[in-house]
Parts: sequence; structure tokens; C-alpha cells
Amino acid sequence: MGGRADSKPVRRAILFQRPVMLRRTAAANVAYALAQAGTPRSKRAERIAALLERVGLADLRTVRREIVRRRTAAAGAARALARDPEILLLDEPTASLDPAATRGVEEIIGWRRNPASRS
Amino acid sequence: MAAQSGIKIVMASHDLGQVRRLAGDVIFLVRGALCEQGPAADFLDTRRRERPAHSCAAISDLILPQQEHPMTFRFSSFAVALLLGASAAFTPAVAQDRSIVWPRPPRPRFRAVRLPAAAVQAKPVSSEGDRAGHWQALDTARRAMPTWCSSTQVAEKNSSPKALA
Repeated sequence: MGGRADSKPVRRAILFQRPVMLRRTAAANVAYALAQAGTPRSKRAERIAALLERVGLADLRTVRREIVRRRTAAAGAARALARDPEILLLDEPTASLDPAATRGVEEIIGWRRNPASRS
Repeated sequence: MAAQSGIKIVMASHDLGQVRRLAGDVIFLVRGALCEQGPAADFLDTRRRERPAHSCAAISDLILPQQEHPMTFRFSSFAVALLLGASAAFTPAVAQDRSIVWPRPPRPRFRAVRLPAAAVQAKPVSSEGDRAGHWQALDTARRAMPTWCSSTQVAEKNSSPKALA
């Protein structure tokens, strides 16, 4: 993406410190984002499964109201990635999370754990 | 994962450990003013005394050494924006840094620092305080991005890490 002067608004995504989730399942939250991004209805189910898998929420796909606090960031990330963004803006997504959840978010963002480093 | 898939990520953070783990490039803002930008490794490894004595030399006053541990530095009144390039996210220097501690050390207690008025050429923080600061950080970073981190630069950096140093 380096060098791109700008991107269409639909290809930008933002993840806030405390993402506001719809009071639905994680899948429904992602589905809403996909609808807003204009994803054809026929392709949504496939994308939802892929996105939730990507953020490690595949097990919570159909569980209603299961987006607990520390999983909210992951669900929010899935929703942000649903737009297939070119630019992803993150406003301290891990500020209020415990270390384990922070690591989850960092893994979603792109941190690969270095086996040589201390754990 | 997102960074590897080609998404440009701009992230505001106050957590230097996180900066070390994630950032490819750092845009360092003090009260909304762009103070420093460059590869994360350079930014993090520059010690206080080595920072150039230009208009934002006051950064060194903002970085509070705590417990003599390199990762427990604490910034105040600022936001660091990180840039994670698709391929530039992990420089070898960062990947091989064994001083990275996980989970991160306990947050040092916040200490207020009085800024020399003339040191920081910036607008004062608005009444919305930190939140506005974050927005400004992200926006400044986003605007600085295209001119600063072009694809050719990333390619050069990957082929020879010291080319830009």
C-alpha cells in the first residue's frame, strides 16, 4: 500500500479503543459491516466465516451476546477488516485490555511472535 | 496478519513495548505536532542524549525513565502513531530483539511533566484533551504517510536494511 496517495472512504476502516458493537452475534456485527461496504448478499456468509476465523472468533460465530469485553476488540477488528480496507486506523485498541487479549489483538494486527524472545 | 496482507495500518499508541513489537515506522507527536518520524528501531534505540537538539529536544523531557528498564519509558501528553507496512512491519532488528518482554511490564505510574513553553511548537491541547490528541495523531500520521513511506522506500529497506540509516 506504500505510496498510495489516498484511498476511497469505503476502503478505510477504523477501530476505536472501545468499539461499539451491535447487541447481536459477532457474525451479525460483521454482516452489518459487509452490508455497509456493499458486499453482495450471496458472498457474505463466506466472508463472515473467513473474517471470524481470522480473528479467532470462529467458535463464537453463532453465540448471541457472547461478545464479552476482551473479545470485543477481536470482533471489532473483524468488522473493520470486513471492509477489506487499504488503510486501517487504530486508536489504541489494546489500551484497556489485559495482556492476553492484547496479544490476541496484536496477532490480528500483524505481530508475529518471535520464538527466540522470552515469553 | 492484517499487516502481512497488505493493509496499511496507522495506530496510535502510548505503549512503547507495543511500538517495539508492531511498528515498522514511527511518527512521534507531541501535543499534535510532528516531532520525529522514522524507522521504529531507530526511534526506540536513540537514547536521550543522542537526540538532536532541534525544536523538539523537549521530547527527552517527556520520556521518563522508570526503573532503568528500556521498556518502561513513559510518555506523557503525546501520542505515537505507528505505521505497519505490508512488508516493513518487522525489521530484523525488532524481530531479533530479545529484550522484548511479554506480557508487558506493569504500567509505570503516570507522572506529569511541565513542558517548556517555547520547546514545543504546537497548538495547545484542546478541551477534549486526549481524545482529540488521538484523532490528531491518526490524522497527522495518515497525511504524512504517502509522501514519507513510498513503496520504493519500503523495497529499499527490505533489500538492504542499512540503506536508509
